Amino acid sequence: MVSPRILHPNVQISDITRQFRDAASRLQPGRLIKDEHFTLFEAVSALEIGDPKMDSGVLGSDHDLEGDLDISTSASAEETIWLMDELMCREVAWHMGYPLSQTLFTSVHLERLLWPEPKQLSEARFDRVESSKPRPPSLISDIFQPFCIGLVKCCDLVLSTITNTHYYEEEDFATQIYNRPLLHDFPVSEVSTLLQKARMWLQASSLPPKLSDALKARLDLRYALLGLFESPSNSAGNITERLVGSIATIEQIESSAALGRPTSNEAFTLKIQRKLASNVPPRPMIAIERRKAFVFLRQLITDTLMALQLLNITSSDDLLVVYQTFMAQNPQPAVYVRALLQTFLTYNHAVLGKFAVRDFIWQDIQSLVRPTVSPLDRSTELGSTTAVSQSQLYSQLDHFISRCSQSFLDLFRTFCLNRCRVRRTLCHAVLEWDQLQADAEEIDILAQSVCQEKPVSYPPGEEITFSYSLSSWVYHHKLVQLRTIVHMGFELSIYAPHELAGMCWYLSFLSSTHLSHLERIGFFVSSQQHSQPSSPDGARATLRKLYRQFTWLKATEALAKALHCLLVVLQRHGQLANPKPAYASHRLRYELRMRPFMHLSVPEPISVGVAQELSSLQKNSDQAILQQASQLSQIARKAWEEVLKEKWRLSATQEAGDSTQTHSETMQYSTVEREWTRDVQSSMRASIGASIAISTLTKALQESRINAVKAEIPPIGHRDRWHSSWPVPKISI
Amino acid sequence: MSSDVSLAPNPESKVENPSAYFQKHPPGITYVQYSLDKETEYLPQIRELISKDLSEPYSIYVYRYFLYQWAELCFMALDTTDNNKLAGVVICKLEPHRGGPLRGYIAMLATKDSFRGKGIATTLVSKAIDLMIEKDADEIALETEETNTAAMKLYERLGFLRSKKLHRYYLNGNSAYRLLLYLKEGVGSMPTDEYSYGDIPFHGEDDQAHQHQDAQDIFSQGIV
Repeated sequence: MVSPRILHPNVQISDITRQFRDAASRLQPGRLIKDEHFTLFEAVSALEIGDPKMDSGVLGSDHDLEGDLDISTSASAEETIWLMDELMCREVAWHMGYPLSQTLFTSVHLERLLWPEPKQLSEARFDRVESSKPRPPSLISDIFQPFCIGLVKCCDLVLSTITNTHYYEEEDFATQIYNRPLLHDFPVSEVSTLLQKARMWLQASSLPPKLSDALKARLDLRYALLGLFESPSNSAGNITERLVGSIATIEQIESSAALGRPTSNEAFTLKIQRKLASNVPPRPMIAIERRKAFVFLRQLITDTLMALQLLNITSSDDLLVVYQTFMAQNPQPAVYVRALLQTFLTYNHAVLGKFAVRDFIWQDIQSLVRPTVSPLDRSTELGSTTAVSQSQLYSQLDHFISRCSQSFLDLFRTFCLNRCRVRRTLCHAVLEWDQLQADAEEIDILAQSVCQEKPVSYPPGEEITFSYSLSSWVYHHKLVQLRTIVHMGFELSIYAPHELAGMCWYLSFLSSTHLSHLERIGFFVSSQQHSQPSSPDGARATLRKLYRQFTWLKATEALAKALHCLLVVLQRHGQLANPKPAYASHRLRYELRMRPFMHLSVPEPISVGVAQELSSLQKNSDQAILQQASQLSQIARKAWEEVLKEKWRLSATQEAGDSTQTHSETMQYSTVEREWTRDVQSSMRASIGASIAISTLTKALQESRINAVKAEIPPIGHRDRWHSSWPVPKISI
Repeated sequence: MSSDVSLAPNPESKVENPSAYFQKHPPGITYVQYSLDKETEYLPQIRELISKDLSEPYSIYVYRYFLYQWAELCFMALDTTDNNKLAGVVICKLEPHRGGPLRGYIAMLATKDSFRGKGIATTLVSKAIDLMIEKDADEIALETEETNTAAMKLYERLGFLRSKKLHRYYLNGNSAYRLLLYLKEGVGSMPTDEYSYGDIPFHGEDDQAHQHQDAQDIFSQGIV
C-alpha cells in the first residue's frame, strides 16, 4: 500500500502512478484488456483526452479560461434587443430538446448570473463583485439583467413541469442543468417584481419610443410567460384575451427584431461548455432561426392556453378525442405542452381536477356497455342470490377498476408522448389490455350467475350467449389501440411500399372486427333496455355513442378495403413489389411485421397462410377487384361526410342549449375543432384520391396499358399525400 | 403480407443463397475479412472513413469494442489498384439480445465516395449476414438515420423491415429507424426481458453505437 497523504481531514490522496506503471509494464503493447463489464455504452461514452474533438477541456493556444468571459457593462438599446432575441432563439432550441450547454448556457451573461450559485436573488447579477459605489443606471443592469432573470425562472418552471411527468430524456428533452439551479429557490413573485421595475425604468427613460417600445414588448412577453408557466390554470383573465394579448406582443417583437445590433463583445461562446461538463465532447451551439423561433413561441403559447380549455371537458369520450386530436397537430405540441396535458390527468389528485379516477372509468364503462351491476350503487338487490356472492362480485369489480385505472389513464397519457413513442407504447399496451380482457371476462361470468342474467341468442337465431359487458368494454378499447398502431405505422412511414396492401387489408380486418363488436354491444344494450327499462335515456345515449363510433369505423373500413384492392392490383402488375430475392422469406417478414398482434388472444392471430389467401384476393380478376374498389372508395367518401356532420364532440348537442356557457365560446376548443375537422376532411380527400387512382388504373386496364402504369406513395408532407395515416398511391401512365 | 401470388403454398423460410445475387465484384476491388493482426494497417483507415460522416468522432474504444470481440464480423473492401487501401468497411457484433434471440447488429457501414454505386456496401453487408447466418443468428438489427434513404433502400432490398421509429435518436436531432431481419421462424415469439408490463424499453435500447449520451441519462422514466 502507498501511504496516503492527508490534505484535508476528509480528503486523502494516494499516488498510484508506480503501481499503474508496474502493471502496465507487464502488458504487450496493443494488447487489449477488456473488463467483462465494459459495455458498448461505456465505449461510446469514453473520451480520448487531448483530442480537441472529444475533450472539451483542451485549451486552444490563444486563450485562457476565466478571463475570457468578458462581459460588457454597457450596451446600446439596439444591442440589448439583439441580446434578448438571441437568447430567445436559444431558449426555443432548449424547448425543442437541445441541452442547455448548447443553447442558453452559451451566454456569458447567464453564466455570470448563475455561477457561482446565487444564494439570494439579489446576488443573481452580472457584476458579482461587491462594490460600495452604487451602480450607474444602464440598460444592461436595469433592463437586460431582469430580463435574463425572468428567462431563467421561466426555464425553471418549464423544467419542473416536464420532469414531473412522463418524457424521454434526450429524445424529448434534456434536463441536465450542470449544477446551476435555475433560480429554483426564488419565488416567481420576486422575479415578476424585477420585471415590473424594469418596465417602469423604461417608461422613465429618454429612449426613442421605437426602441423603448421594442424593449417593453420583450419584457412584457417575459412577464406573461412567467405567469403562464407558473400556474397556467390559476392565472387570472380570460383565456381568449390572454392569447390575443400574447400573440400581439410576439408580433411586436418580431417586427422590431430588425432594430437589434450584435454586440461587439462575444456574448455567446462555446468556451463555457468545458466548465459545465468535462465528460462530454464539445458540441455545437444551437440557436433556432429567428422566424422559426417566433413560430414555435406562438404555438407554445397558443397550445398552452388552449389546453386550459380542456379542463372543462366532461366526458371521457370527448377527452380521448381531444387528447388524440390535440397531439396529432403537425408540428406536435412542444414537450412542455405535452407534459401539461399529462398533469391534467392527476390535477389536484383528480382527472381534470374534478373526477375521481374510479368514477371517471366507471362513467366510461357505463356509457359504452351499460352493465347491469354498478360498483357505485350497491343498494340494488341483484336478483335472488346470496349476500356472499354479491359481496364477492363487488369486491372483484372494485379490484378490476383499480387495476384498470392505470391502463385507462395511460391511454390518455400515451398520446402525450412523442409520435414514435405513441406507437411503441401502444404495442405494449395492447398486451396489457389483452390480459385485462381475460380478467374482465371472469367478472362477467360471475355477474351472470349473481345477477341471474338471462342469455339471449346472438347473432339473432344463433346460439344463446350473455352480454359480457365488462370484457366488451375492454375489447373496444383494445381494438381502438390496435387500429391506431396500424394508422401510426402509415404516419411514421414504418411500412415499406410493398407492405401497404397487406397492412390495409389488416386495417380493414380490424375495422370489420370492431364493427361486429359494436353491433354486439348495441344488441345487448337494446335487449336489456327491453327487459329492464330503468334508464331509457342512458341506453339511448349509449346507442348514440355507438352510432358515432360505428360511422367512423364504417368510413375507415371502406377506405382501407378500397386501398387494399387498389394496391393488390398494382402489385399484380409489378408495382410496389416485394424485393426478390432477399434474405427473409415472405413468411419471416410477415412474422416480424405482425409481431405486435401475434401475442394477443383476441382478435385471434392470423397465420401467414390464411392472411396470404385472404389478402391476395387470388380468386378475383383485376377487373372485378377494381370495380369493387371503386364502389368502396365512394362509400368511404360518403361515410366520411357522415362523420363530419356528427362533429367531434359527443356532449356538444347536450350543452348547446346550456345558457351558462361562457362568452368566449368563439375560441372554445378551437384547436381541437380545427384539427378534428382537418383530419376528417383529409380522410375525405384520401377517399377521393383513391377513387381517382382506381379509375386511372381501370382505364389503363381497359386500354391494355396497365404495364405502363407507375405507382408511388407520396411521402408525408407532400401535397399529394392527402392524409398522413392513409397511404393513397399516386398513379401515372 | 403482400400479395405475392407466385409464392409456393408452403414457402421455405429462407430464400436459397441470396448472397450470389447481392455480392458484386467490381474490378480492382477485393474483399477481406478483418483480423486483429491487420489493426496497425487498417484501424486508422477505418476510423478515418467512418468518422468522416460523423458530427462527433467515436473514441478508439468503440472500434476496439467491436473489432476485438467480433473481428471476423468486420469485412473490408480494398482497392487493389492503390496499395490495398480501404475503400469500404462494415463492422458488426453478434450476441443474445435481452436474454432472447441471438441478434446480429450492423454497427457501422461506409464506402469511400469514389467507390459508391458499385454495390460494394451491399456486398459487405451481405458477407456479414452470411457469416451471421453461419453462426446461427436468429435476427439482425441496425439503426439508420431517417434522412438516409440510400441506406434504407440498401437494407430493404436485402429483406430488412423497419420495426420502429426512434425519435431524435441522433445528436443532430434527427430521428432513426430500427431495421430488423428475422432469419428463423418463431423469433418474434422468443421470450426476452422486453415485455414486462408497464415497462417501456429504455432509450436507444442496448444499441448505443450510433449515439453518444451522458451516462446518467441512459434510463428514461417508465410510464408513471
